[in-house]
Amino acid sequence: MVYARKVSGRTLTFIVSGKLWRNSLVMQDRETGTLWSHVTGEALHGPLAGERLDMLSSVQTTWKQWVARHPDTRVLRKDARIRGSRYEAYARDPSQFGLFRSARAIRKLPGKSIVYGIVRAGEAVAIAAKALEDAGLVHLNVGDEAILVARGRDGGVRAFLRRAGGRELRFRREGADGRVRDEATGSTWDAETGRCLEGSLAGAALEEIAVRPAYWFAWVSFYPDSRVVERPPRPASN
Amino acid sequence: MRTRLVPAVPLAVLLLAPPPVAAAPSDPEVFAEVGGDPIYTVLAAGANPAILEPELVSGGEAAAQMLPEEPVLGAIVGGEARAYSLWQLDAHEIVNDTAGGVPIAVSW
Repeated sequence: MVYARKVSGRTLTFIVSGKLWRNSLVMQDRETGTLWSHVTGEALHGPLAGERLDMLSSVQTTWKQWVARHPDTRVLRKDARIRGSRYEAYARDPSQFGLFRSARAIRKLPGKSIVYGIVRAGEAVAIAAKALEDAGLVHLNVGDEAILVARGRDGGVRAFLRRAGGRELRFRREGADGRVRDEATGSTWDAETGRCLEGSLAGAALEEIAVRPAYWFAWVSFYPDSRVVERPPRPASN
Repeated sequence: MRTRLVPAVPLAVLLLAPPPVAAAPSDPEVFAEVGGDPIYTVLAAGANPAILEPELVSGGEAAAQMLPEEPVLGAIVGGEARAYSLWQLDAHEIVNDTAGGVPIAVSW
């Protein structure tokens, strides 16, 4: 997750609190000692309780894909001896769900299913990874906003408000180059940046919003009423 | 061919539990209860070291430290691109950075 770490004009510095809430990391700011959920950005306990950090969009991809698209990127210096995830066994084990048993039911999907979570205006939706497998695109409405979720050629999943030129848009995958075309104007868009490359909407850009990859069991412990998109809707039959 | 990341990327996000604690402590200390769920104390604050002053390198310099298929968290903030190795974030969980003049916290 990426958050703007400024609250009411004050820049905060976060450390690892050593605490867990809903099986997830709790951050602590050094300035006030307040505890924050890294999943929701909410201050849970302490002087700033009730405040919320602004979540910024980010994406999971591979180093090769990222640097090819962003040759000017800056990278956190890393010890080259780190060559794997310490959570690999945990990630592979379908029966291990965090450290503590959750009181909430895990139905609808297997607990370790990967979902991409979006929350808008208090409404939560989890898009199952398999819903993005075929077309790589999912259209949905969350909290009254029309949203496009797209898997890029870099494997990353991003979400955009699918509105431009004063109208709501729907897209189709176009060829194998990662471009998409909107049905209303036939303009061509880059599904990784949200920019319109060609057509009457050329120059327009869809606003990217934050999407959170998560295990389903974790997502549902934060958002028990979350809707689930399990697979792309069937195309309308004639 | 379309790249599928899901098998390659552990996507541990959202459940980062402190490392090698194999099972829940038998008698975890409940620090407080929020929203009907306990906040458990598992480790001392700071036992997993968040990065407070990140050392950033260029993409060219990073080539020596990164594997091509290494999973990264990428973000563009204030027009500046940042990449963080998820394998590295496993150990630190939080990076306090500033990108394009915007102070950010990257959590994993």
